[in-house]
Amino acid sequence: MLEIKNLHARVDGREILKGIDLSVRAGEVHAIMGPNGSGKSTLASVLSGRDGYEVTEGTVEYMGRNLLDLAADTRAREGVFLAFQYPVELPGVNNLYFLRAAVNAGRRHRGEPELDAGQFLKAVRKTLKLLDLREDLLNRAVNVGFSGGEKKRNEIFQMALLEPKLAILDETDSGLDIDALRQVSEGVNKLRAPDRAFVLITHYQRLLDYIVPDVVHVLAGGRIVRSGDKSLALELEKTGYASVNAA
Amino acid sequence: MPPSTRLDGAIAMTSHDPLWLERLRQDAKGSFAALGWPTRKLEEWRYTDLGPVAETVFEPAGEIGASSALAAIVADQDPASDLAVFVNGRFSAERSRIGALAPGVYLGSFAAWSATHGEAAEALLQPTAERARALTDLNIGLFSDGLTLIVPPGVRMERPLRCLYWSEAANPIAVHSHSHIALGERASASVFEIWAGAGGYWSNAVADIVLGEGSQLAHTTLQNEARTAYHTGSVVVRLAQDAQFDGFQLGLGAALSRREYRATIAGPGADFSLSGSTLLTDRQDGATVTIVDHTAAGYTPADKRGTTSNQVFKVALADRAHGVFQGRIIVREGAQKTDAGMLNKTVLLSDRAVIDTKPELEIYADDVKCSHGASVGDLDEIGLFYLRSRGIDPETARRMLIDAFVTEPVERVADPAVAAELRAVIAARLAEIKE
Repeated sequence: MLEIKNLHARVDGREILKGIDLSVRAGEVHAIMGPNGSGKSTLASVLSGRDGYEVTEGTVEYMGRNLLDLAADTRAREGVFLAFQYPVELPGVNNLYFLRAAVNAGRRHRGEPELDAGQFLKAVRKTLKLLDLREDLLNRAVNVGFSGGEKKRNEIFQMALLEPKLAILDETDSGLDIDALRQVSEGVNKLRAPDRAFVLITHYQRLLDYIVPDVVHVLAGGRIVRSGDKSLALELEKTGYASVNAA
Repeated sequence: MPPSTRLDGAIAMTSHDPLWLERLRQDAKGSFAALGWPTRKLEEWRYTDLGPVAETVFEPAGEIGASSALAAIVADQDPASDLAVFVNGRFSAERSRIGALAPGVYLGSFAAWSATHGEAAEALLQPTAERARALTDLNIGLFSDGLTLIVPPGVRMERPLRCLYWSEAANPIAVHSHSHIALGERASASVFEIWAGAGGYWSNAVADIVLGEGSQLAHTTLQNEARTAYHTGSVVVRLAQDAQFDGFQLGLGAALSRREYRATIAGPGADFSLSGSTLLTDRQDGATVTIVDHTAAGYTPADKRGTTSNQVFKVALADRAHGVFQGRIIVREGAQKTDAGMLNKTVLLSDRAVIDTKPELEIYADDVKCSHGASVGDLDEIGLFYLRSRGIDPETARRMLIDAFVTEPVERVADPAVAAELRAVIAARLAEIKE
């Protein structure tokens, strides 16, 4: 589903990614771990098409297409979803209105009929149940006045509604207490599917207690320095990132 | 042209005035003649050039015949509200719709009220230090009518009131309306003013608002004049102890418009809140000026609360529009415990749009909490990316953020029918704007 080869990228003229290779197949969950400044969030930004990130070398293939050729909104309509580390507050933009615009943008793109307000509300209610979210968040402005946990849950809720093929979760666990972490993780686990892949970017191992990955990668200095199964995460928990930096 | 010469035509119209009013008018006209038109040398007029108004020869406002545009807008008004309609500055009883009122409430024509309440009207129209000068003088010299709403102590108005100020003329006319809202102790009311019209005219409005102890006024203004019109407005508010003014203004402008709010907060616990959105395009020129005076009387050693004010204004400018926000908060010596805030945010939707923004604090007391700020820029980049990352195309994302920016302050409008109407008006105007 996702093939990254020798990816180099710069931000503000500084090279952050220095040759990433990563292969993710449908149905898999990959965790990317690494110390602060290793390039984890840069990788998420490059994959989602954020402005200001310059790819200088390498290729990214998604579902057989060159992902880097696609604008950010096209990528999203093609099924790439980024759960933001810091979800953006949009004062004055109603959450439901925003979600319906997003869902219908995807449906138009796929040649499916748009959902009217009633049909959309039905889909929303179903998804709310799946994620155990409070309905009153929907009629507020996007992320405005939400607690840290509510913002992260809103990201997962959007993901559930948009039904992406490739979901990239950028430090979705940061700032969550243990209950919120469990809820968010349960939401993600319910969305695991044979035709959907996840890339979890995290600093800490604890997220992986709840969402068990198929593959764990360690990113350091802009490269993937180690890959392994879930036991690698536990090993890092014990030894810290110092050992991988040395490696 | 000396300003006095153009006043002659209007004198005949006001010749039925009682003696006291005739005298007041003469004094006011004399004052205007002496002061002349406000110029940009005056701090409060620094960013607005009234030249186009001063250079136009206006005819006195008269009656209008059947107007389908007016009929449509009258028919559109919320049936659950009382409706007072003013056409070219005169109360139009046949177009108004006012239900049964509580005992002691007066709601209707200022001219009719002042004819029977000469003493009160005379007191009201006396010059004060708080009111604006030249244009208010001209208004007092020439006004024909306006709204009077008097709510006696303890009375809460059951229904909201809508006031439609409609101006329409083929040749340029000057419409001077003078309104008065007075709430007695613990009285409350909700007023929604709509300024609109067709053709060429200059609407020069003055409103005197007096809020008694513990009274509450929700005051919303939709300023949406014809694009060929001029609009100047001055709202003077005086707040006694524990009075609350909850104001909102949606400014869609005219060709040239300037509205000012002058609040005098004169009793402990009083609160003046005013927020608004401005959306201008083409070559529209629109200013909002606020002067909020936290007086020494707002703090007493016995009552240690002080007074509060809060202002949030958002401005979105497209094409070659020129916007102005000038806000001044004055905290007088002795006005301790004042809590005052003022914020202006502007987005420029085109390279050629211009904003002049100047929030100011003048503080002469030492135990106060005051803040002011202004920001000018383009739409939030990260917000745009967030929308795009969910599959929304860049053009739609921009529209959504502009709409949100202008609409967001409407959340402060308590009346849901009014808020919904303001949102619809914003959406309709945005749909016309090309970036």
